[in-house]
Amino acid sequence: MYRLLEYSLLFILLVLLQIFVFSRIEISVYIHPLIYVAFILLLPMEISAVGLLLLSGVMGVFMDFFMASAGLNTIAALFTAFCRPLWLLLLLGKDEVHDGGIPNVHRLGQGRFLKYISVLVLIHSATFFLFETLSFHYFYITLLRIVLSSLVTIGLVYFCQRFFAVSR
Amino acid sequence: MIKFILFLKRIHFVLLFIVLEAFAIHYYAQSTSYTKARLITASNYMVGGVYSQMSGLNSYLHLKHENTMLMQQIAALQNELEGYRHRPALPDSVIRKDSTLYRCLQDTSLQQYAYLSAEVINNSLIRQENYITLNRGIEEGITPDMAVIADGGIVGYVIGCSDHFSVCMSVLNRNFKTSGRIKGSDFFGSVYWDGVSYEHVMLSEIPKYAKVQAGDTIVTTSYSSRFPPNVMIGTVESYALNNATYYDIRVKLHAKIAALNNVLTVKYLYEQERDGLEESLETAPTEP
Repeated sequence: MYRLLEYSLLFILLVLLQIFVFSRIEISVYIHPLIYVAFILLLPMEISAVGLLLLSGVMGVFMDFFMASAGLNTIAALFTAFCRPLWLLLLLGKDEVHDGGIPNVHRLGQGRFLKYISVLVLIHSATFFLFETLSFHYFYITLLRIVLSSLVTIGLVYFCQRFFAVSR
Repeated sequence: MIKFILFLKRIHFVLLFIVLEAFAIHYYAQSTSYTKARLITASNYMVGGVYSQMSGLNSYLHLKHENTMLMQQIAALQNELEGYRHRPALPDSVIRKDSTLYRCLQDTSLQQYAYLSAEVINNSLIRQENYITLNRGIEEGITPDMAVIADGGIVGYVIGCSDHFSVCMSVLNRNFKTSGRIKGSDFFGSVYWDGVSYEHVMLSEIPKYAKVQAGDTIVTTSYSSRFPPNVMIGTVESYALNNATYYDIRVKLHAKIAALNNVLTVKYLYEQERDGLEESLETAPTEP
């Protein structure tokens, strides 16, 4: 199996960080970084679309169990996993996706990597916070929540990618 | 037929996504606060110990402050107790020693609420549905619907218990609802959280002819079978007339939910009797 150990460790580390650190730091109602999305973003490009969907679903279910959010994280994680292949195809083109590799700074370059994670983190946070609120009554507050949380998450995913690249 | 199978093969990723997402959305839509409380109870079996350790460290850091607070509370209670101790013995001419009225004065079974202290081991603030986990459960006598208060202000109520932990609905939960009253008047309205700030709740449905002022105290009413009456909710911060018919009042919470350490759980001893009676009357056929 392809880098099974590294990805298992990444999975466990992200789950622990999410439940004991990032869902507990209470800076503001507007900032809830969902760092576990890094797992979905850093899976290798040669993974099959179905595999990506299933692994993301497992991550979502784990987060739902520990955050007691009853499906919310699974909804967001599955949707992100659904968008990832399409976005990669748009961003890199068919040939480069076919070459595979881990989508990190070395592989994509700084600019394209930031574009890659920004869009998917935004999609993930938007799904999460919209479904969490389930109303357009406080739309601007939800919007602020999406934007601020995404910014923090993008920074965290970037760091996560660097450490993951070093550990290999 | 072969074409159809080939077509299915081409879109199997989309199909799988739709099926999985439908399951997730269905589960999420069906879930209630009680589902979530059950989930927290279940995950507490795995990580409750870690949360206890973390909150242990946290409370150690706040020991000094906690001690001062406790001493102040003891002093206040001592003063109150003195008042009861030195109640003058009533002469027979005022009240007969063998009368029911006299027994009422002495009887402690008239107590309506029982209090038990508990420690907060997990507390979320940044979600839309926030829950608080306490380090006491069924074995310590905690039951669902007990009120949770801290520093004399409301914090939430218990919705689920395991043997040694209990999960409470925080006032900072979009499903939280109770009634509140402006102290010194009889106007009351419903109290709920709008999901914006962890220091404020909303009080709505206060009629427009009520007198409201910034700084007014909002307390619980006796309509709730969970919270004892006249417990602080908070103070009025701002208010606005909604629809020209009633006030929406922004209330600054009295209890500091972001720095919760020790709380009191409150059992209303007549809850079952009261709820039973109220329910039986609601379901009973009304006389024409």
